[in-house]
Amino acid sequence: MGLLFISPWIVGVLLFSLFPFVASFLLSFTKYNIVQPPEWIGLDHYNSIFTDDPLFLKSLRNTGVYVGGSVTIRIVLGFALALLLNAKVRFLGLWRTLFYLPSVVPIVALSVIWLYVLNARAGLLNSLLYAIGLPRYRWFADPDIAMIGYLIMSTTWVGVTMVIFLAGLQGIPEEYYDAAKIDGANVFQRLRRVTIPLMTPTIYLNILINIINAFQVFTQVFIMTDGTGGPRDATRTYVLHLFDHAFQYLPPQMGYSSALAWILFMIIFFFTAVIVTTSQRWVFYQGGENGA
Amino acid sequence: MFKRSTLLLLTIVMLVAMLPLSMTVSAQNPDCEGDVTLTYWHHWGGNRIPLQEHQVAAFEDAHPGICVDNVFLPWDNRLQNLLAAIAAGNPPDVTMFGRQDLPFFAATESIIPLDDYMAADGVDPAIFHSSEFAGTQFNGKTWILPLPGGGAYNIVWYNTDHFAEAGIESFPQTWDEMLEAAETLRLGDGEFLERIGLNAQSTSGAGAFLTWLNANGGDWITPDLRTITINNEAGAQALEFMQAMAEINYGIEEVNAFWEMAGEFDQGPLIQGLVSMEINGSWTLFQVEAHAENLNYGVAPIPYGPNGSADRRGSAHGGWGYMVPKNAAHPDEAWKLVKWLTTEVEGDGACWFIQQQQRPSPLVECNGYEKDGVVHPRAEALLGVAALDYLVPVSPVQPEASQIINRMVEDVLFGDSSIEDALANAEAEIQALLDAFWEEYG
Repeated sequence: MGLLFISPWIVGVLLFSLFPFVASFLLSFTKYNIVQPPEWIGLDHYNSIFTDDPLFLKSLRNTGVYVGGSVTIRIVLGFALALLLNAKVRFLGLWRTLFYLPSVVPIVALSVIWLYVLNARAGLLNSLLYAIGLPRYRWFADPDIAMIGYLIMSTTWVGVTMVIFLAGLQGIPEEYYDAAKIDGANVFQRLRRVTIPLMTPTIYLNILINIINAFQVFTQVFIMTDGTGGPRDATRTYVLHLFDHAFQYLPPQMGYSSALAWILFMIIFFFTAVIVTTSQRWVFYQGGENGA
Repeated sequence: MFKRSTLLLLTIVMLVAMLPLSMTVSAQNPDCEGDVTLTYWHHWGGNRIPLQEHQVAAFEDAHPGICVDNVFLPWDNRLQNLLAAIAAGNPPDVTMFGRQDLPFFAATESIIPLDDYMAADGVDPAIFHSSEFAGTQFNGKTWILPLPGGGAYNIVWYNTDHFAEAGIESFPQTWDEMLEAAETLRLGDGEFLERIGLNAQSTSGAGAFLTWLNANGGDWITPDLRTITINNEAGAQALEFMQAMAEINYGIEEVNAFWEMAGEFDQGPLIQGLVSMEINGSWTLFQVEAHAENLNYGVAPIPYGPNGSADRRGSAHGGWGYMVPKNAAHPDEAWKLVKWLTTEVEGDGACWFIQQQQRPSPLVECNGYEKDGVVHPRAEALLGVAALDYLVPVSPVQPEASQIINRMVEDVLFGDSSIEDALANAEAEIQALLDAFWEEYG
């Protein structure tokens, strides 16, 4: 009976996750234009990607910048917000809702809003900078800073990280803080010696989730640059590059895109493995057990 | 963690926020009764949606027993949607189709040739302007029927008040005159623009570089679509012109930053007064009249370059058509709809739809600038511009080729490459793509 109830989920996973997962792996060894049967070509795509595709490295580098920047922003800002919203302040529910709210707005709508906020001439951010005597930046027109615009935009989803941190903070027993206070620890010492060590499992979880998500950044870049990844390919992310080969170019190169997808999978897998492996050294669980 | 009222608020905000996601609009006439329902995809957004609905309703009235599910899809995702539908064996019966996408779909026979249907119904290719019909052919077969016209993509729409204020009495005819006029019309403080005379990167149809190359008498590809020919004097002069225009406008970064304020329809740069001259297609007429009826404007052909000539200005390139995908559920009825959308002159079909927008029709018998029996006062000027259009061929690898060309232009305008190197690299890159295509599909 239990199997019957869970069967929709099992069917969903088999059809919409496992099957595409295996199929894309097999397709990565084929030439496949979607409308004709795939043709087996072995490792040719992988060879082309590493030797004959200048946009592969460029898109990977852009994505790396986004991953490094956005994960740092979300972890630091999310943790800071969670600390503030874990305190006993007035209208706590309202503040929590407000900070979480942008996370539930569809990314298409968010992208349009951010295009206005970061508009070089009439944008809200530049207007504020100009009002306090700072220069106006050409956020999405200057290749040197275009990716910074997307990093600023990534603060939109800090609410999700914040909520997970909040849950972690509420799981820390008050007794630890009471004991630290009796020992004379001030607020910063309590943060450093009690809160952060006990939050490492939550930090670990958030880093993993955010890294996996950030490597797949696509929609906002696709919408905000009309799919070009401009200017000068400065915001061409890895998944946008993959998407172009699959759906923008003619003939479609679904096999090549699948190979790109599997390389991305291996990169994400590598970072995940590194974090999981090193977690034994820096993640602390209550009761003294270290590591995952 | 959250109170019930907070959850309620969150739910409402989520629902409101999801509204912009509904970019796909499907409309089916509830009064239509029939055994066959055709699925029809198109990309006519904005103020053309009601025209589409009217045109489809007229088709249903004229063809009892056939109903149409009229689906508007965004242009950007057209290939993704179409390829996925064909691969899944569930394509629409009729879809609007970019002529630039034809070679691949025809070479793989993913769409149905229309020649037999045309012969059976007496649809003579001569009812279309020959340059329009040429874009429907591949390997000697007709795969799509054209609408709207692929010509008149590069009309210069200019603000006559700006010209009068600047003391410019006649519209520039050559690139040198255009550069001079653009500098006179540009407003700014040396670092930030207040108004652009002309943004040379913003054209339509073939894309900026191919537009200027064409106006300079250059051909980018041989007529057999097998050899790229941009690395020459005409190509270098086109890039030099674009570079000079960007410098007049304080550099490419400032142009792009300023251009972020421009949008479509009522947000168009000419309508907003951001530019004095805008190069855009014939559809601009409909948009100006809908959103800026008090704008004083003129129309002129695009100026020609040092290698060009006065009788070759704009570019007819690509364009749209309608086709029936392979595995369409109702191909015979689908053909009837294609015929209505592209050849109908009497009822509210092809000709009526184009006339409502006041733009060129591919049909010889249909004057697109005549609406409800009244010829538009600018019809003569617009048809005069269209007469100077020259056919710029579409390559079988056009999407990727266009991307490479855009990258080449950026390399030059951002100062990362010399004109000579940029042209040589782009030509070699596109040639390699072309060679691969013809090797596989030729």
